[in-house]
Amino acid sequence: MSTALAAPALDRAGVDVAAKPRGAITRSRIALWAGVTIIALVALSTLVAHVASIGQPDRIDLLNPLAAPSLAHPFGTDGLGRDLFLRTIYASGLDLEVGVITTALPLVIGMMLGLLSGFFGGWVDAIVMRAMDALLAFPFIVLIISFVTIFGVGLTGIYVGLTVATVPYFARLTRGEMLVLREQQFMMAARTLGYSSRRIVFKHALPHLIRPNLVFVPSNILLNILTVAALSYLGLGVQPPQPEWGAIIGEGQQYLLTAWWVSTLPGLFVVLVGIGFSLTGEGLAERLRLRTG
Amino acid sequence: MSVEPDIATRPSADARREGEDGRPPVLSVDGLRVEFPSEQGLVRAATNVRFEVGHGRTLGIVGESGCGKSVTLRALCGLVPEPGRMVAGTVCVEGRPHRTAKALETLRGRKLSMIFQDPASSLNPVRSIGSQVSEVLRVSLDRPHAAARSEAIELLDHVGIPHPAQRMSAYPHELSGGMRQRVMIAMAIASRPQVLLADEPTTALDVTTQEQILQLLARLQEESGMAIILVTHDLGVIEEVCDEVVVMYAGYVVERGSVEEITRSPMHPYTQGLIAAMPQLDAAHEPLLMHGQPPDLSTLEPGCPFMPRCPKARSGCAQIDMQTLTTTACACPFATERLLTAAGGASSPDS
Repeated sequence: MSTALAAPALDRAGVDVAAKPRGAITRSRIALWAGVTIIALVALSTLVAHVASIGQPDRIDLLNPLAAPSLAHPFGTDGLGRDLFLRTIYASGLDLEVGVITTALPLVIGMMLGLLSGFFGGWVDAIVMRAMDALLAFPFIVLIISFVTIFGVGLTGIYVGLTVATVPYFARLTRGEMLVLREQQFMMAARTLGYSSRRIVFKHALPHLIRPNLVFVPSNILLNILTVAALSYLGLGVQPPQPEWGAIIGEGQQYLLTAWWVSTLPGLFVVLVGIGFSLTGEGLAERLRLRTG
Repeated sequence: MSVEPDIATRPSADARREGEDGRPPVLSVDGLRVEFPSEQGLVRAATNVRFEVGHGRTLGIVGESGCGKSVTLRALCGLVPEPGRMVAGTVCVEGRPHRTAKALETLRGRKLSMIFQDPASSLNPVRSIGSQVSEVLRVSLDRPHAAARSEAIELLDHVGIPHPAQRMSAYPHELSGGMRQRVMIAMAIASRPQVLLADEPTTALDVTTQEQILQLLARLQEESGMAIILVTHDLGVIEEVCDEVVVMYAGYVVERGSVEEITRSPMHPYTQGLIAAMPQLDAAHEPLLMHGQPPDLSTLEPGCPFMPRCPKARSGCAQIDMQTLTTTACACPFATERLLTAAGGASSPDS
């Protein structure tokens, strides 16, 4: 046994690849890269548009309302003659930002809460998890609307509401994983070495908990983006004239029969971004699952 | 089975408490009691456990599964698994008494360290060998980063890991069971503990690897003079590495003595049963199976817990007081009597 190991068989990548099914690898890799590419393109286009101030998304052209898609206006124009393609691209910045921030903050907060809850158990666990249950008892959108009511219509309420409403998902996920992890022998071994609880939680347990949480991140960004769009559609979120996907689609509703493109093309764009995040999430999950074996 | 009359009193059991070199034992346990509340009632996992181990000596704790061996070992470093509790007992390390799990906590990674049965699950699978070994050095000995790393390489080399510098970046799943156990041992001895607690360290390994690990432990012990407390159900391992042995049954220490005494002339019927059940290479001895299972610890009747399975049980067995007997060399009050009659030639206890 020891002689076989003594041979320089340290090719870690080689060992791993041999153990994995090839087809699944390729598929997950394609999914991941396709997803990342879509998101990157959308993010890049909005960044460039914002930084270089390309076009004027809010410029009203009353002589040219509800123009059909053309080379000059790829998505056509809305009821006020504003270029829909430009507005959609500009809106990506806001939507991605809200999606990422309202996922990143709850990721960190939720992981901390779940970590403490799962590791220490007892009354810490009881208090934290009852609080999370209380938040989960509200329907997602109702909880956010209540925050919008508190902070007034606009972005602040959406940021706070989405963050608060998302924390329980990460907290629960982390706590569950932590409960499994706590019983593992290497956690016991770490304690016999005299390590502090803090060291065990952050240096020994945390690396195991990042992976399951990470898989959940892309789908959660998507979920939150769609929630923002839904709120704006309902008129509770971003206020005109600031471009936002949900608001654009909502405004186009009245023209559905006469000018289908006003709602449909920005809608398809949102679907594309959604597919991008879904592919990323799926590819990530598959790859991380394969790696764990 | 050869029986000498003088072992009935077994003076060695007490004489050795001082240790061969006259120093007091490095670790002694007295009156240890561990209980688990359960729906069926209180489970007494360890009751009135007493033993001691001297510098550079190896104590074996032997018994079937569920006899309280591992729980006793965990209690020594204050890590009785939830919801269990160490409700009584004193653990003296280098003469300093510790009476609670909280007090024992301070010894971990300094005076005491532990290795486990399954090396595959005792190492953190997402961290490299190097980071785990050097972490011990940084935490327990306050070594700076670079020093810890080079010292970790030395440690790995010391426990017989080939190409230690390359191994530092390897992950546990890339090593064999024996190599993982060597890494665990390296981590356990990094802080130069006085006592190494080994919970069935070779059970999950194949026989040749098992031999290597035992030799490694013996070598490390010789070099550092640390004491080892080895929990196992393998009497072969006990015979090979231990100086003294305690036999546990149903949470009680039922017999104690030197390894020769226990393996050559066991007194307690349970120890005799364990030894008779050991497979022998010569065909003359067929292993004799002990019938039944260790009792349910939540519904333990007073009297000798081994009585239902004991081939030598008699009416008096239900009345004996285990609490006092477990601190003596043999918890069977009738063993002495039987041995004396056997020596007198009246009848053999095994006939």
